[in-house]
Amino acid sequence: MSQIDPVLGGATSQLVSLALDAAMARHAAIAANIANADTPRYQPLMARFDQLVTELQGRVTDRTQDGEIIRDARSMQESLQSRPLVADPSAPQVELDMQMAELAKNTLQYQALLTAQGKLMGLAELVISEGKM
Amino acid sequence: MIDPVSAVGVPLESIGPVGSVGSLESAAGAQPPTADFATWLAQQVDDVNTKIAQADTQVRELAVGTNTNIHQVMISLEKAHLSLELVMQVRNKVLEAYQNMMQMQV
Amino acid sequence: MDISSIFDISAAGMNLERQRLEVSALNLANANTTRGADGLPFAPLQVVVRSGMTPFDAVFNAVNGGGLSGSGPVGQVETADVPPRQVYEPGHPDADANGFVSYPGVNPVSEMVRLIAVTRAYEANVRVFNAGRSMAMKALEIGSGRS
Repeated sequence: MSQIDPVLGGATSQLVSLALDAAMARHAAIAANIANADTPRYQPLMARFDQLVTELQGRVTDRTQDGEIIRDARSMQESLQSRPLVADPSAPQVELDMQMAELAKNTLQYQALLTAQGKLMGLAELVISEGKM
Repeated sequence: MIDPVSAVGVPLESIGPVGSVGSLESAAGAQPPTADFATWLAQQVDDVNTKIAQADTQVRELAVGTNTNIHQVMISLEKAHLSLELVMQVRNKVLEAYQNMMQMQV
Repeated sequence: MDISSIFDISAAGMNLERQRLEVSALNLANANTTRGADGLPFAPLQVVVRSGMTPFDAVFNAVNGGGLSGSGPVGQVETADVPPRQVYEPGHPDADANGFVSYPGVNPVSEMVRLIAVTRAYEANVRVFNAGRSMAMKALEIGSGRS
């Protein structure tokens, strides 16, 4: 029987924190691309998160791996901070409407993650306050 | 003249048997009425645990990108919250009833 | 179906309309060009759309099972098979033996009409995109509004 993931430092919080960092990096890439839309020979950028995270995807549902997931997520966060943006191989030039679509998707993802994390912590708050709040 | 014992007996009987907890369950829509309140409560606690674990897994999948179904995640979280709240309130009421009982002058 | 495939489809639609706009602009700019730098006459272009969509039931099953993200429209720029406009200008350096100069068969009126259609289609795609985004934002409000 699994238990409520510890709110502080658990695997879920770590993954959400990593995903939020990635959303900020994606936003920086989109902002750079839009600002340089008219610059000749400009190579569009993307966040490096998507390359890193595919190897985590299969493991998140297996709770026995939580310790390793926390370690891997933490190291990914650090590596994301040191070099967040790389050249986007699939986009030879900036397409403004694709960038706007990415912007909307990214904003939505960020807000969804924040809301979901807030609700999870609300569960713990309910227990701590004994339902009297 | 009213017999004092029977005057006390009437309000006690009107409280009803423990099985009236069944109305709580139909509101939750979970299981058929059980004969034992303790069993029901244990089942609800297990149910809460399952719901919380499921909501937690879905939030993880949202974070890494395998599940982008936002409303499903929100609904699971809300179900978990409501189940937990139900169990909390039942627990509070039971404790309150117990404390009331203990304060009764014998 | 997830929300990001909805965004991808609308974005592909917007991309396609922008391609159409570029092609129309190119055609209108070259309406009086006799020949290009390579010596060949300018051929009017058009965007041919081959949708990634398969028959309806395949699409329906895809919606209920997986995502539709592979099925946005894909446009190819190809030359239009329009006969050139012949104008009698015997003094023109590109005139042929009979004194006729071949201009590209670009019809400015139909290009302008196409521009209007492209604008409306682009707006429609943006509206779909915004509607999808509003719905997803509302989904985030599930369970809020409680103290």
